Amino acid sequence: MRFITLLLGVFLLLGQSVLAQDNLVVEIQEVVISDNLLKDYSQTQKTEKLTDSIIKRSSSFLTSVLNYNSLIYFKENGVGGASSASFRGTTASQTAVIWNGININSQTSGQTDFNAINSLSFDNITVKSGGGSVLYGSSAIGGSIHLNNDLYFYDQFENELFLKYGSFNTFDGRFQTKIASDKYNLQLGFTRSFSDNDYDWVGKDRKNLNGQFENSTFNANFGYKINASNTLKFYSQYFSGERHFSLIFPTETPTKYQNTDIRNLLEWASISDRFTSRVKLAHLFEQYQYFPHINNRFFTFGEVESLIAKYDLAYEFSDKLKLNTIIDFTQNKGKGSDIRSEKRQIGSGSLMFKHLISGKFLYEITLRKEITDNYESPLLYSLGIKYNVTDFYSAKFNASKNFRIPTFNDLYWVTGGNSDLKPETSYQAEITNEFRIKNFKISLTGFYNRLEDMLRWIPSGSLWNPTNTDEVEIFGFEAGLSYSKNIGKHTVELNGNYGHTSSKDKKTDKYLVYVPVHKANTSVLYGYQNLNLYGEFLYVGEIFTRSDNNSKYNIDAYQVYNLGADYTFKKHYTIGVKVQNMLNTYYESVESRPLPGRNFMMYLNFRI
Amino acid sequence: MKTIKKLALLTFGITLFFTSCSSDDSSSGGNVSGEYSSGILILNEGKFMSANTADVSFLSVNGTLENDIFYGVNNSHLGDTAQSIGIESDRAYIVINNSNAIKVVNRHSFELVTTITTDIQSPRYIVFENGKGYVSNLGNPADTTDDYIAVIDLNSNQVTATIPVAEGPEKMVSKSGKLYVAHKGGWGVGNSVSVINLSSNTVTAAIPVSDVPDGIEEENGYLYVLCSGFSSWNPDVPSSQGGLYKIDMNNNEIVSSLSFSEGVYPSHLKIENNKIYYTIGGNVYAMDLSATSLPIDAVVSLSEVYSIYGFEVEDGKIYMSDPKDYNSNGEIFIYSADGTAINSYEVGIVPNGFYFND
Repeated sequence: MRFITLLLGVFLLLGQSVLAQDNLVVEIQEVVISDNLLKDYSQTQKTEKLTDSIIKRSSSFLTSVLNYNSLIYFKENGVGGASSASFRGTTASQTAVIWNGININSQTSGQTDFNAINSLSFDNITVKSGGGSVLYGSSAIGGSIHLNNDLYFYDQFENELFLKYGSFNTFDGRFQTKIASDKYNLQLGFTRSFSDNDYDWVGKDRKNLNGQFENSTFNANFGYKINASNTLKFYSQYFSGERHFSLIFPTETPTKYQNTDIRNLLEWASISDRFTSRVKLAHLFEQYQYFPHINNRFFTFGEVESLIAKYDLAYEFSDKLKLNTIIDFTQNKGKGSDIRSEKRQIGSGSLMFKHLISGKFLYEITLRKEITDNYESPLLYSLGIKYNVTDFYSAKFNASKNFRIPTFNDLYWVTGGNSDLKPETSYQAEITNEFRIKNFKISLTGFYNRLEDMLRWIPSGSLWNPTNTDEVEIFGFEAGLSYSKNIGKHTVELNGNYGHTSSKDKKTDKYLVYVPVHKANTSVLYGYQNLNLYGEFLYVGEIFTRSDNNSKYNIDAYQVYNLGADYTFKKHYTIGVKVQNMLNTYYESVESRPLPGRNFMMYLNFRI
Repeated sequence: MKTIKKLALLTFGITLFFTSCSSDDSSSGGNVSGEYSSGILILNEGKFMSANTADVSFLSVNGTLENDIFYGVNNSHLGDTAQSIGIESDRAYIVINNSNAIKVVNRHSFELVTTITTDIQSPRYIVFENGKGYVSNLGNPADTTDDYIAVIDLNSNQVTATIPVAEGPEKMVSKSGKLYVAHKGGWGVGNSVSVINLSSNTVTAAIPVSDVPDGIEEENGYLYVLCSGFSSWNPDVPSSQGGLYKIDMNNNEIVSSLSFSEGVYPSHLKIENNKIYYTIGGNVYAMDLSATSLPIDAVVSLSEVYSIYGFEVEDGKIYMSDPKDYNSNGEIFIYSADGTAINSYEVGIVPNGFYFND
């Protein structure tokens, strides 16, 4: 009933805004993304956009793209195994993954498995550091990862086939077609990846066993400009994958995991004189099946179906003053072999205000409050400032309160779920200094994050229950350097990042497990005409794996080097080769889960 | 239940454990005495799904502790989730649940003799009778109908027969050519004790008890069984009460039984010096063998311990282990039988059992 009332409200509001239109023709940008808040309200924090060419040079899993291009640490259970993120020293469910503006973290686990997303199905990926719960909801604490598909409104007919084959019988392929005019845009894409994934463990007398995986993604994105002020967009994605979980000891029982994700998003954007209204309706379906024995049909499962309705009304007082109001309704319906069948409804209202005072100074204030009967929801807020001090130096400041809501597992797990939980909350602040000197861009960021009411499953009697118990305090420093220069036929690009993170449990004064103090990565590219040579470097410092920080069980620091080259001919064809871990280093990001030694891949891209 | 817990952990994907426990490094590896003939072996189960955290600690009679003795002696790791140890003759048999293996070592030197893996699947416990070892196996974790007892020839260290049994075989007692198997339950909830004739390897009787028989002990021709009861979180499935049973081993009849109160879930069972010992959470209770009612007061109360994980009573001493957060070094506590603290030690990760090696 509440849903209907809300929908009704949404349509009433929509009607008003449609009526409010006048005949003024408003220029719509040629490239539109659905994640409008990323463009409008993320200027006071660090964002980094990863392009399609970077994505193609990596392995297809999102883990690998982000590992070499961000400071996020990935706890990866071998290639293709479950992979979770630690963003700025936070835990696995404190990074939000946003698909075309919609939060797609699993409702059962609260996190995204970064090896269950094929990064080839997106046009670009943006990494936004720092809190963003007002904009993106639960889990946007350490930061958020934005997977975007761009729509274009200009004449275009393009087909692209990308094929990659490498060691361990690893294949990645993508076919994409884009048809567009100034009125409509249709994009269809299909990706397919598979691998035997039976790599040798460097320096050990065995292989990775039972690690094979395969996955397929189908994308259909459609945009239609009804008229100069109204645009319809539809995004649809279907993902299906199966992964075997590799064995720690060869005698262990082999298991496998299948998951399916279906995502649909319909958006109607309407722009009038000073109003922009966006209605978004999304349907998300997530399902996993875990097979405790690969040759047995028995499995455990969990699935959640989510409906999201969002109404975003923006009003521009002037070109310097903008206000957004968002009403959001979410319903999640979950069931599973281990969770009670439950339906949960969450309504929320947000206000966002941006003010540009002269070309030099900008501030943003945002607020969000949820209403639900499932848990007590705090008022979330953020304040951001950007100040262009000189033409080569600018400073950013952002402070926010963010949260992570209890998951279906936390609340409704049959043996031990606790329906009396509070969200985890985070208070954080960060300052970024950016310098642009000639072809150099340098950024220096300091951040602080205090986490309260952290959820942890602890034993009580024979059962385990989640409880709001832990407090964590994080201090960090990040430095980034980028350089790019073209001299005639030569191109040089350089990117480097270093992060120093201290993330400690306040009660025990011990470091959080699986959070490296040091992480660094660099990439270098040299181009001559149509030939590119590139190198990648990754460094991860020593990691604690035990909560008492017993150093006996630490994972050693490691460095990995990759080297690649690609050549484009006749403008439409690209051929590339890459050697990964060229020094054949033994390394692991989870204890007893070695990652591959030296391995090779080659790729071809046809664009016509 | 343990299987369920583990699957639960696994399906969460990545678990977030970080918490209390203060300790310094207890480094070792290679630097061990190699002499374990008189003292106590403490089995550290290790973290589920890890290769390097399960091992054995040794507490000598004069009170010195050595951690990670298996790795120290053999320079290799024990396996994933060490469940229990059985000692017979000169050998110790270490049952590794998630690695589907039994590591056979010389119990004096702890040198590895062999590893048994064929026909071992999700093994739990081992007992001995007439030159043979009997291992309870949950089998394929996805199949509730393939549970069995593996019979090991101790000379060849090979499984020579398997005896199919009801779901969830765990602890066992062997006596006079018979094997008594407590069906605690794996996927489901068990509530019986199987009796197996070891000359024919056939199940001859199933003794019904209440839910989750966790402890089983023999004393003076009687079998004592402690059932934890089933703690349900599903409103549609009722919980059940724990119970203590005394069974006549001649006719498999229940001689007497005592029920625990609702909401109380006891664990472990040890009989020593004509007394029955069991635990509830961090408390230890003791009662006379002849008592007709359950004790009210605990003999030991470890207020900081959620749940005593490993438990043993021997020669007037009570041995208890605390796994803490299951993600850092655990602690063991030694008390006198009358409840006076004697000593405590930091051991390895998730200590789950004590074995007297003398």
